[in-house]
Amino acid sequence: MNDLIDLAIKNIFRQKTRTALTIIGILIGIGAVVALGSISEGIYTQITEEMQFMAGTIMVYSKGSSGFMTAFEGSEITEGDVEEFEDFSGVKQVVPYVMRMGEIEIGMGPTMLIIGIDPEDVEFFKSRGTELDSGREIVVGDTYQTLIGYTYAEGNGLEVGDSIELKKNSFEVVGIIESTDADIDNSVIIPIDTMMDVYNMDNYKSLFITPEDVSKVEVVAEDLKSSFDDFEFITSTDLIKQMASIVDMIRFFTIGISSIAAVVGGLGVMNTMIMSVLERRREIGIMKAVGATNKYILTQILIESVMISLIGGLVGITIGGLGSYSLRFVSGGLAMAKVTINLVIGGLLFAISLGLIGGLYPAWKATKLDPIEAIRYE
Amino acid sequence: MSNIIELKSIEMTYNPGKENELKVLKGINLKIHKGEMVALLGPSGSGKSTLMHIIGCLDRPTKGKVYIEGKDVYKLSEDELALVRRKKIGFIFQQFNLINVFTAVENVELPMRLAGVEKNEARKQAMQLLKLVKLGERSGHFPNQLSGGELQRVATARALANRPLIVLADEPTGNLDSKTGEEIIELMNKLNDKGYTFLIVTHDPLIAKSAERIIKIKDGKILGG
Repeated sequence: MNDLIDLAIKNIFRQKTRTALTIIGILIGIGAVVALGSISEGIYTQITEEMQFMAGTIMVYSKGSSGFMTAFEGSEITEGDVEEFEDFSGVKQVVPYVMRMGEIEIGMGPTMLIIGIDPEDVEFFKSRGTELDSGREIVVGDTYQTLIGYTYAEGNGLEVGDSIELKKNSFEVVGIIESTDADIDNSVIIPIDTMMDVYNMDNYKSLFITPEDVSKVEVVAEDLKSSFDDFEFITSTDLIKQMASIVDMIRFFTIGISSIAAVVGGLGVMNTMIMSVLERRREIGIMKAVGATNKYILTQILIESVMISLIGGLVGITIGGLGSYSLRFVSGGLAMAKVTINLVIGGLLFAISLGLIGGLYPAWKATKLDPIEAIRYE
Repeated sequence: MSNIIELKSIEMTYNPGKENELKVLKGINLKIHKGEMVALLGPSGSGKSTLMHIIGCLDRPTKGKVYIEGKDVYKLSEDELALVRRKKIGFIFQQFNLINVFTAVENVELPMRLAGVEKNEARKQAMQLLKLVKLGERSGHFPNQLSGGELQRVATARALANRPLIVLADEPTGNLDSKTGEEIIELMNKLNDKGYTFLIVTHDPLIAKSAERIIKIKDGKILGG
């Protein structure tokens, strides 16, 4: 076996340019699989992390707005509605909040979210995995104080004690939230009353309802749905269902399209190996004459083609992985690419199987060589 | 003397039943004994190379049987025939047929490595064989760094790897000048004295002279056989 590997290394270095081009063909394909695959993995992770935040709660917005993400603009929930929800059986807590896409006067960072919450409800948000990186939370009595997300703070060079401006109002940064890989990283959180004041809002956009018994969240959501016609009640299960199909589609397209590139790379391997077998007819004939079995010849050609595709795969995974990782910085943390171990192993297995499949036909041709003919061949 | 190789009614027909049907061998019977040096003479097209390939387990005859140490070899599968070539047959070709990416010693090692001889042991034996053909000091050279005579010596050393039952040489001096050719003949005679059996296909009267037995072949038949 060692001999076969030595020989394969000797052979792939014989035609350096051709080998290099073949490797590039594979690395582009596998690199694309890893890069695009990691982006869809990133999207998936981002969504599931955001779903974590929703777990055990019911999200409410008013009907008429067209869906989850666009809900904030059209939805209106009054103080009266909030009271009605609070009195509903099985409901423990109602947490209203307002949210809008922000334009902020300083910096040129990516779009951020401005979220207004009731300082009384800080515990609710804290219990959902948002920890502080530095400073303190906003507390009852705060007005023009703000908690900011980690990426937002980094991007704008903000620290606790600095101030930011929203609609000509200055807010003091009292705390920075630890990095979470979710939207919250790029948001500014201020007391809900101040927010409604500053942005002239009369009603809440959306709210969270927590049930008394977390395990009954779906039951409570169903009860609410049948009692209130004007509102949508969404649980994390509903959202995951919606999102999963979108993510699956993204996965299918990204990995599907890049796989085509990889298969083209595999054809390159096949072409190279066919050429290589043709050039080495005489040598293969000699090997057979001195006692190499067909199995030996087959293995030799396959090792060579797998070696080429494996090198392409390894370099492709490295470049694809680095590329998608750098996307995080280019996009300012908004686009998340995640190189999972499955993606790396999958990419490697893909590369190996391209080498195997691409090498099989040339290897088979090599075993069919008649040693007498091959030796005569000049 | 014992028979190591026996051919019975060997016939070889190319493209049988077609318009371009060609009968190359027409009923060859032949016995080769251990330790012999046999020269196979005949004009080109007489079928002598084909006969050598058949003895060397490279080409299946259309009819007849080949026994190597009493075993009917063409009952074997392709890969089993490869094993017979590896263990029992050594080839020397007119075109030397060394592997260009291997050094001299690696070429000699190849049949041993194929036979599963451990690397260091194979290297040791290959070096001994190269010394035997007086090329010990050129073991690390690649074929393109060696002269024709040297190449044929390496090829001879390779043919001796695995201590074959018989060495089959196809026009071994055909590509060499007469002086170098003589050296190769001398080498083969010396090896024959050491007990190696040779079957040499040749035009070369010098080889024929030094052979113990001459078999003449014409139009696919052995003359006087």
